[in-house]
Amino acid sequence: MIPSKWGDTMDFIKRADIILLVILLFICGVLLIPKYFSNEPLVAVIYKDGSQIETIDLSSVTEEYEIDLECNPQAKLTVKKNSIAYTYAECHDKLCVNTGVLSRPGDIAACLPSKTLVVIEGKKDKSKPDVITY
Amino acid sequence: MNKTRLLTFIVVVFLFLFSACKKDVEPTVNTTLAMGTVITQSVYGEDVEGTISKVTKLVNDLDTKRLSWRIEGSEIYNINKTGEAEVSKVVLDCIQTCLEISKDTDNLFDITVGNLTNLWGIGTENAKLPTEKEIENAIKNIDASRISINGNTIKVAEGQNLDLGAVGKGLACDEIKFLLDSESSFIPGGIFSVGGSILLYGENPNTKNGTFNVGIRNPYGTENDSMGIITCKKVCVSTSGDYEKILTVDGKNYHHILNPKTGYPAESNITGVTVVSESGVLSDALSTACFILGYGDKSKELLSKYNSSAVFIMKDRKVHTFGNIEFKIIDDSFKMG
Repeated sequence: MIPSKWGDTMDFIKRADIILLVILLFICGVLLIPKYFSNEPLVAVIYKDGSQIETIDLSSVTEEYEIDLECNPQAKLTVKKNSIAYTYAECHDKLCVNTGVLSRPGDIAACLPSKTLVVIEGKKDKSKPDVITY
Repeated sequence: MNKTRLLTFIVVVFLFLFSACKKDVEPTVNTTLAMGTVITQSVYGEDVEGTISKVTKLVNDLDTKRLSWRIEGSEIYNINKTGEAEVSKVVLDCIQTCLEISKDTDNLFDITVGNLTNLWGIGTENAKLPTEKEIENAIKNIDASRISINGNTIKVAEGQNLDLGAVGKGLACDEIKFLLDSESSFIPGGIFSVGGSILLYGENPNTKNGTFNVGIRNPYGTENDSMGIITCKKVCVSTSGDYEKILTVDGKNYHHILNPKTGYPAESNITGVTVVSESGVLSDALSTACFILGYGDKSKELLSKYNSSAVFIMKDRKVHTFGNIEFKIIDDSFKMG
């Protein structure tokens, strides 16, 4: 028993109890690691004319490359490790290009004139809002 | 340690472990293009694919059969073409709400702006900076009080053209709510974004009180960046800003929210306003109206009348809230005013 000024309280908690507590908390910690440090794949899904035309696992991209969406007006995407972006568009307002780089689950870029759309799928970061009003 | 204490101890620790490891319920997410914009549905519940398809069809039908002024045969197209036409109850109710808000704003919010929006064409491939003469011509017939309603028939004055673009997305939110309420399969909750106008339906299963977090787009960032978060549920949320659709001529930017009195993009003390209301038509119409009115007593009176709340983002990055709203800034470059 650990001698203590707390007397009866420490009588209740013995050294073995503390060791057991530490072990159980350690197990909790180990089990929680995947929850907070999981490396889920970052997937970009590309749509054209309402149909899904390509799915890219951005986390496994090793070299930068370009995709011509073969649409009218013409639009191109640049794919890099963990990101994707419209980098060329012949549409009038270039809103898709101005959307910038998509790198987080839930990020969306659309080119309405060419009826193309890119969505990053995956589990959303809890610190991010559920939806954005614009 | 006796057996009872040991057992209690282990149970408590494992209860902690269980609660800490509780996983969030993930919604089924669907993103598509309809109504000339991006539609995103995040729906909680099981076997919701059928509901998602129905919602997509509903939004498409609302655009092509009722609201579009470009698509031949739609109710608004028919009114603009012949001067009068019968409309559905959905469109009738929507127009009546718009007429009321027109009165409240002394026609600064006005759905007879069709000639003017068509002239500027902002957001389309025909966007251009009109001449002053063209603008004069386009605004001379803007006056929603000249619309007459007889039963289900809407009649516009000669030379007038309707444009329900300011409330179309909000109306879609209201129609989605009506569909979900009448669905046989129960949907516990979901988020439906129609081009940035949002319906928060039911409850969020991942929060204690069922609320959702709605980010307000950072006017100085990209479409995926937020400057603040509104926490709410069972409401519609709409935003009007001077950053969304822009025409640039000789280095000067012209945004798409036009002042019907001047014929030019509205100039006010705000760069964006987000409105929270019970219905999507209201949140859409009020956000446009408040953008044109700017932050001040007139906006506040209007919001009060319709039991709505709002977040105003001023041009100097100060932020004002009005009404009963739970809002927090998440980008430090903005400050509460």
